[in-house]
Amino acid sequence: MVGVDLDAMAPMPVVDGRGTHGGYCGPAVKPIALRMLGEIARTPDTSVLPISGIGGISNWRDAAEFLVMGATSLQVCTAAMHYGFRIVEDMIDGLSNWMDEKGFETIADVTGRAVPNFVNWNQLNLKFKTLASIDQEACIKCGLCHIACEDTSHQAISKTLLNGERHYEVIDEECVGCNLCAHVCPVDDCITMVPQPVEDVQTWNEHPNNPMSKIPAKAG
Amino acid sequence: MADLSTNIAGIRSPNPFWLASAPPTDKEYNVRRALEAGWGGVVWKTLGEDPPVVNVSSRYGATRYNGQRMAGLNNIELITDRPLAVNLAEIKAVKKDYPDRAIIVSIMVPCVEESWKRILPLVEETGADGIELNFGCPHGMSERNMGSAVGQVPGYVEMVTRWCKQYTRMPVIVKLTPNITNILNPARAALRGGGG
Repeated sequence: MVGVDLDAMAPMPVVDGRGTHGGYCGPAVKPIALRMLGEIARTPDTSVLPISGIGGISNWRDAAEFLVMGATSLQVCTAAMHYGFRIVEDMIDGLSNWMDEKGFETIADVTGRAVPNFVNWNQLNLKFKTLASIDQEACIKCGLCHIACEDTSHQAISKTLLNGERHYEVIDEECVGCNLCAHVCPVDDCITMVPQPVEDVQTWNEHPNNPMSKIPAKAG
Repeated sequence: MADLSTNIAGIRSPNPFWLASAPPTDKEYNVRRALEAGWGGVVWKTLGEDPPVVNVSSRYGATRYNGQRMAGLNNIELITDRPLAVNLAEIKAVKKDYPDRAIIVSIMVPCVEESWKRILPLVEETGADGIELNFGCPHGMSERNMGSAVGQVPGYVEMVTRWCKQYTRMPVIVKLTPNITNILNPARAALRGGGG
């Protein structure tokens, strides 16, 4: 249900005073569609199915994402309804340019390329760390990163006055690399996440805190 | 330059971009404009049994978010509301003029073997490249025990897929509904129905 008309007191779109649920599509459903696509593509017994991907594909980048997550063909509707049929020209050009840039010659070269990297949480490396970094030249001193981190995350962005101006700085020791500050920052590329050197790999399956792991936790 | 042509289950198209089964693929006029614009294929808007369904007036609701129009689109239109014969004749004419494009026909008829047995040869006769089973429609048709009402029951997905493999030579795309807890259940049912 996309909304309720507060005058008609009915779900939208309103049909003579009443509404109903319907088929929901467009960019908003892309995350759901990608997950389901990936789930079928990565599961051994269903991975043999050729997949026509659908769900919010609006540009060449979405198209490439659906292909690398397992699709062999792509279905589009809302983007065409929004911008007209000629949007396919941009999709074809963009996909073609990207494939050239990456050295992919055919759709078969692209299909499923990201599937092996779609894993369950317990296969992620717990030793990996990434840290936020603020480009002080690009920063507009709005404070969104600070307040987001201070109120709802890890108190890892300090707010000080420097030469009479507000100044925000990442406290590396407190930063868990969650990305929230980069997401809320209104300036492109002002806050970047910097991956730190990886010493080794330890997943939850191997972690001593995991009661099911074979490695015993240290006493105390 | 990269070769964008694709082949999915034997359905070939010059690029992977197909218009999905929806209002833009309901009739010949729109589909021809789409193919002229360069779409690799279309999935013709879902055909059903006559008499055709009746659609309501006012059909789309949209999610706007911070200035972005149509971040989400909600559609309460049902399947095609035009007679079966009209759609079939148009599909045949389009396929004849665009032999290199993928023309797939979406179908939704009751979960009765006779209904599928009856419609499949009619679709096959158009020269279409494949069919798509509409097991996704969540409104109106699901109340009539079709669409997502089928897609939510793996046993039905398997049964109808098997009928389609039995009664047509065309490749069968099973459109899965996302309105389910685990997508692997209907996916496995489709695989079994297809003989896998």
